[in-house]
Amino acid sequence: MNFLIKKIMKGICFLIFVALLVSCQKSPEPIAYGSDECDNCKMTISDPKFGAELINSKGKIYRFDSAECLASFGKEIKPEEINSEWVSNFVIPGEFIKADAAVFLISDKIKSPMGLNISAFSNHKSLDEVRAISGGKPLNWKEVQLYVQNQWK
Amino acid sequence: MCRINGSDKIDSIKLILVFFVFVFYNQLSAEILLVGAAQKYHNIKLGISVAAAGDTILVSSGFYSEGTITLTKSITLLGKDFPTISGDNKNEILLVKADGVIIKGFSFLNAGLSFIHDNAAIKLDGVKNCRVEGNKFSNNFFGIYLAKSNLCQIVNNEISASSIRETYSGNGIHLWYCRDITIKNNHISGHRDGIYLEFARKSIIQNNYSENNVRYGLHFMFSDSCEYSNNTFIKNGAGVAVMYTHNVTMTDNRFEQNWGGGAYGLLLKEISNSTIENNYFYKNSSGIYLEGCTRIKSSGNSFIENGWAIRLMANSMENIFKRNNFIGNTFDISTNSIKNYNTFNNNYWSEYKGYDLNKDGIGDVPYHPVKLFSVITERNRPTLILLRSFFVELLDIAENIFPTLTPETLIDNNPAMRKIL
Repeated sequence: MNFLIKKIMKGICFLIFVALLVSCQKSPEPIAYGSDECDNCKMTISDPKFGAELINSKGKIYRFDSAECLASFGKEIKPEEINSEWVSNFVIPGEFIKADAAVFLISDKIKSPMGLNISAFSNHKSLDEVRAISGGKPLNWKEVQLYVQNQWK
Repeated sequence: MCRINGSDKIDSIKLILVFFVFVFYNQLSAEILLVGAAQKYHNIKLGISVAAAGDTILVSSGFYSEGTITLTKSITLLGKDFPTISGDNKNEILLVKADGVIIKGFSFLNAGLSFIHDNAAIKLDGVKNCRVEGNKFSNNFFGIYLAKSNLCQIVNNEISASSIRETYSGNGIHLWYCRDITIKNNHISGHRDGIYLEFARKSIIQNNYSENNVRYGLHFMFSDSCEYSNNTFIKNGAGVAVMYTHNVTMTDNRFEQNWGGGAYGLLLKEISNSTIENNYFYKNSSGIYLEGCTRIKSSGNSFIENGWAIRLMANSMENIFKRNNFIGNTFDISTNSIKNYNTFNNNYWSEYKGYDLNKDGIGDVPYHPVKLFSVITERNRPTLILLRSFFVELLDIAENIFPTLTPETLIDNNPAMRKIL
């Protein structure tokens, strides 16, 4: 009996441990702008309008200076090993939004750190407000990934 | 002593005639318009509106705040005793949209920070043959911004910003889709990148002094066939970065005191067919970091008291390091690979403990610049805490004799016995 309880306790402990492991690090962490390095291009990440993150299934966070670098890095990783991808909200610098829920704008007037000039927005309304000034073409995340892949071969 | 023959004489007379006609013609046609509080034209915009192409506008010292001044005529703007033109922290100051404009002797202040617009003190937009010379720039978002412009010269400017705005500061000199630009004798500090080139071609960067910028002293992106020489880069956030570029010539530059976790003297990423000659790397965390670099020739460089002199990542190939000085670096070469496709030959290594019995100036035993411990730290950075411990020294000696983890072929077979001058 005692033995059984012990075993159950052990099991519960293990489950809690696993739960802790799984549950932690599922949301993005703030980037230290001006000192963190992009995990794709090595550049110092310096513009909070464009920072991006990828969290893998183990909870490790990769940081990027732009959505371009996130897309380029993400395509090297198996989809099942990616937990989530995050991009910065162009109109609220430093705020992360999920890449697949974001809307993107490609415009020559808005220069991103990697030269493909992609910016991200949480909704079409704020995108359209910026687009009214800058012009450009709206895209979704899938299209952005494809665009980056084609541009960078 | 110097005799001129007949045809030369006629040629020189022709030349002098042409010169006089040119000067005379210019004096006849070009006017000098005076702008200032006590002058005929009270503000610069007014002066510009009445000026014709070829005219000179001479601005007296004073404070001018006129919103964005747009130049669509080829004129010369001269400042007397550095008149100040302010952007009042909200707008661009001078927008040049005409060829052949000269801007000289002004002080530009407070071009406004903007989300969408890259507001600059001077923006040259789609122009040719312009010259920005001897101006002072302080606290502007971007200093001098060149977009789709060719054959322009940026000379003798003093550009500074307070890095309080940190991540929201723009670049000192910014080139975007430009060609044949000369950037010479400028002093830049406190911007995001001192000098930034994106999609630039055939441009020359010479004799500039770039210090205390938030990110890089100089930053290349996708800018082929450019050359930078005799520049000094000191205490920039992360040093100098040259990325995604072919045919870069880097000579006689100084990279100093770029210190910190992600800081490099020179960061090279995806560079090919380039030359690094006679540069001086002093007290940087990493002298040169190479990732994805091919066919770079490096010679005559001095690496002195850096953390790592060279960090050569696995995907770099066919690079040649010849006749460089490695003096007092914590690690001379570090790599994350067991294989080596690069050549090291005839360098001077202060750590070399070999001998030269035949006195030909070349060490008789090869030098092995990669220490075992540097390979370990490349994989696991926190192990650095063990640096200089007895055990680590012992490991290094053992590895030196029987290489197991370090690339066996990464050796200098002809190490120089004396410093290369």
